[in-house]
This record gives sequence, C-alpha cells and structure tokens, in this order.
Amino acid sequence: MTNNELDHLLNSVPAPQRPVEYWNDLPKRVTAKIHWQSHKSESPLRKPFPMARIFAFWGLALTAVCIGAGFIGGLGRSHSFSADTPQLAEARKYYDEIETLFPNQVQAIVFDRQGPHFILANKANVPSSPPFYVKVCGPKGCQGFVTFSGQQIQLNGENCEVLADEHGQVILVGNNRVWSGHQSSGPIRVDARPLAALL
Amino acid sequence: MRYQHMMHALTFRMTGSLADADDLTQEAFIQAFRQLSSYRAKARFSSWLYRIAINQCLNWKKHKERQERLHTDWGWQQETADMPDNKRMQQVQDALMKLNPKQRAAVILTTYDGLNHAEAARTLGCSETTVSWRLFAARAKLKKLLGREQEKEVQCDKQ
Repeated sequence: MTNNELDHLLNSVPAPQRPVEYWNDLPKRVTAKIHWQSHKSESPLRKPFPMARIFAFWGLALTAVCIGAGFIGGLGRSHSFSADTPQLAEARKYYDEIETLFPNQVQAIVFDRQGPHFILANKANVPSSPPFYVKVCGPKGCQGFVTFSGQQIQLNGENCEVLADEHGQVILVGNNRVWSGHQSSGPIRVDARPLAALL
Repeated sequence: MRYQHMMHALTFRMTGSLADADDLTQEAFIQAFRQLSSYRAKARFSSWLYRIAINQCLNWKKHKERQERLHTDWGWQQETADMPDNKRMQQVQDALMKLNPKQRAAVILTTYDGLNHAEAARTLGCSETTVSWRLFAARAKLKKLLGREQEKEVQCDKQ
C-alpha cells in the first residue's frame, strides 16, 4: 500500500455526524457549564447574600473591562501602536467567528503591541449592538480597542462610558468631560466611531 | 458551526468514541473560552482551536481504559450502526486507535485536516522533524493493520 492509497483509504470514511439539534444546543451547553463552573467557584462554602452576588458580578465585569482598558491607561508608558484597516478587518473577522461561538459574550477586542486579543464576559449579557472602534493617541503613541455601547473603559486614568448617540456617533462620557469622535483634549486625541464605518 | 464540526471530528478520531468526542468538544470550547484572552490574532483561529482540542485529547489518555471499553462495546456499534460504510469506518478507527496518541494526532492533523508539517508541529508543540518521524511510524503501522484487513476481505470474497 502506498502513502496515497493509505490517505485515500483514511479519507474515504467520514467522521460520524451528530444531528442538527446537537450542534444547535452545543453553544448553550458550553455557556451553561461555564456559568455553572464560575458560580461553583464563587460560592465554595456558604450561600452569598444577594447584594454580595451583585457586587461580585459587577466586580468581575469591571475587572474584565479594566484588563482591556489597562492598555489605554498605560498609554504614557507604552510603545507606539497603530491599528490600521487590515488589522481592523482581521479583528472583525475574528470577532464574527468568536461571536458565533460565544454569543453576546465578547466585551472587547484589545489592540496591543502583540496584536488583537479578546476579552469575554462570564455571562452572555453583552448587548448585541454594533461594535465601535476607539483609538486614543497621546504623545507616546496610539492604542485602541473594539467595544460596544454601554461598556466602560479607562481613558487617561478616568473611567468613561462608551455610548452611541441617535445618529450612530460614538461618545465617551467621563466624570468631568465628554469626548466625541475626532476631538482633541490637550495632548490626547480620541477617535471613536462605529467599526463598520472603518471597514 | 464549521469549528464545531471540525472539533468533533478531530476528537472522535482521537478517541474512537462519540460519547467522549461529545465531552471533549464541549471541554475544548470551554477551554477556548477561558483562554481566549491569550489568543493572538496573528495565528490562525483554527490552529489555535486545534491545539486546545489536541491537548484535551492527549490528556484524555488518562481515561484510556474507559475508552477501550466504550470502543468495543455495544454502544459504539449502536452509535455508528446507521452510518454508511460502517464496517470500513470501524476498521479505520480501530487502526487509528492502535497508534500511539501523538502519532494519531499527527495523522489526523495532516491527513484529515490538511495541515502541513510545519503547521502540525506548531499545533502539537514539537519540531517538524518529530512530526515527520511520527507520521512515518504511524503510516507504517496503519499500512500493516489496514492491509491485513483488506487481505481478509479479499479472502472472504473468494470463499
């Protein structure tokens, strides 16, 4: 038997397939198990108070967002970064794939020096709204990430909420100021707009 | 959906059991969820998933006894009974299961999933030379095992 004949023989038998229902239910089962595991690890000995649960949930969510936003916060110390259109297109492609696997769980795509990577929420509670691209440029360079309306980011040490106005423009609302797309504020320039408009 | 099919086929070929393939596919996606922040978009997403699934399967060898039981018992027969060319499928899967797990992984990645040696080496975390040797050894064994089965079939046909 030659190598080609062997390959032909191996490929002549397909792997058994599961019914459509199995594939439709798989994401739900994966998500349910992740919830169950995270719930189990959160309550090892005693049942937490409802308020404690709420704080734990928001704490986790805030931590996840802060990890992503840390790249923005560390702007002053980081090397330059630029997320150009091909990178965004690539990030968009991966976003679509990951959103299919884990619906409503992609919180952000963070761009750092090593390329794009992803932050997922523990629960499928990220609203299915169009993604935005936020790029922040300062004296030391630029950093950016893809996120969604209602998510919080840290901008130059200040917590900001990413919101969309009625015209689909992106606004970043901080404690003391509001940034909109293409607006400069001192040495910081913020460019925030719907991702679809950039591709 | 294509990733789900891909992962399920890979885990089935690695384990020879639909039940284990179901469990391992689910576990692989859970691991993917947990490790997603470590994924760098420079690499192919499918390669990254392969690596997670292969590692799950290689760790699964701890449960080999369970697999061997499942592989030979009535359940497996039932699971694959309605599949086309069931006999050949079972012969091929039996032969794959007689390989060392790392050799099996090399065969699955290159022959079924079409990865070249360099991509398979990255997925398996070893050198290309190692992949080549594993493939060489695996092919020799598979030819012997499947060739023997083919000879048996020819003899049966003659009788």
